[in-house]
Amino acid sequence: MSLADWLADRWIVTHGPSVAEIADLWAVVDRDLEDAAIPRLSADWRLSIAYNAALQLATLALVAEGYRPGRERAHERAILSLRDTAGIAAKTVDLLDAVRRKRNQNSYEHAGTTSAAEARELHEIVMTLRGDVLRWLKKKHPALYPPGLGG
Amino acid sequence: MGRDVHADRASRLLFGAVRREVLALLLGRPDERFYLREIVRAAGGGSGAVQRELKQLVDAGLVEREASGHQVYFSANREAPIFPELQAIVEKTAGAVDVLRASLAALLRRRRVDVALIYGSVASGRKTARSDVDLLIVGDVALAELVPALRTAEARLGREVNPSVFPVKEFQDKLRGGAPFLTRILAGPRLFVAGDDRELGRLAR
Repeated sequence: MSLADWLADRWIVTHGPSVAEIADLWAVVDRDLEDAAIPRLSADWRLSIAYNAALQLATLALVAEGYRPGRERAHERAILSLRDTAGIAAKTVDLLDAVRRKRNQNSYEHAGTTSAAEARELHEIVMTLRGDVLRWLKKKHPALYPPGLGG
Repeated sequence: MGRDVHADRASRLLFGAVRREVLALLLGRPDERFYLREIVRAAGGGSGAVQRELKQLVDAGLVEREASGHQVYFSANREAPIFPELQAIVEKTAGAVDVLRASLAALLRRRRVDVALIYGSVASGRKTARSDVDLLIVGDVALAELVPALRTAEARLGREVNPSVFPVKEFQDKLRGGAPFLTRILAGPRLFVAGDDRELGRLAR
């Protein structure tokens, strides 16, 4: 499905992007990636924070394309849209979607389901994702590129 | 892995190929009803063979047949006296355990997994249509290689699989620290996808 199909199904809605909004979202991403590496936090929480960074990167890419997620299943659709916005590989998107479900489990159902190894791996994956989205943004939407990021 | 081969052989011996697949679908998703074409597709057999199996299972009271308009649906009969026992056998030999073992075959061959087990509602037989399969893996496996393998299993099972992967040392350290999540799994019902109680006991020492 393309983003046009998603729009027709109201999975996403149109939204006018601004440099300030992208910069704000980018600041959330960088805060979360920093916090997700704090060793004294639980692995569950570090995974959740790294996941939130990925979610904000997905939202940011969607916003740059002129959309935002609709009301229903907003997290899921934002994550899945990474394939059609920033051209992120399906295997990475699938992994982030699996983490979305895991995060639901560790946030609301069971504590301690995340290992430190999983939290570290996700952090590395989202750091890579950050680089991929940054390069895509600079190339596809140079006018929206946050000025403070350099490059 | 002799134990794994035995489980697979046992279900083939007990049920035969087509019945095994029909039971895996109906008992694996006991709160859902399926029409014939869906069952034929899942069983991978001919329509005639699947219909014969279904008739015998209905006659034996293990499967319910329900006509609705022009459509006929089949579902597991939860009221059958041997339903819990049969479901446990199918789960161990042709259900979630079997499907996950097949999906993880490459990782198991490379001996990257010390123990893999299903816990939670599927292991305790209390699963519902919405239950996920909760999977604990102890070993040297990255989520990046595990998630693609699990997607195949999820498609076959019609359920989401929620993995937790602990390297051996972290698993042992957490247990020594009394981690409630892992301690509860060790005390509760579980279905082994790889390894067994002895291996788990060795890791937990």
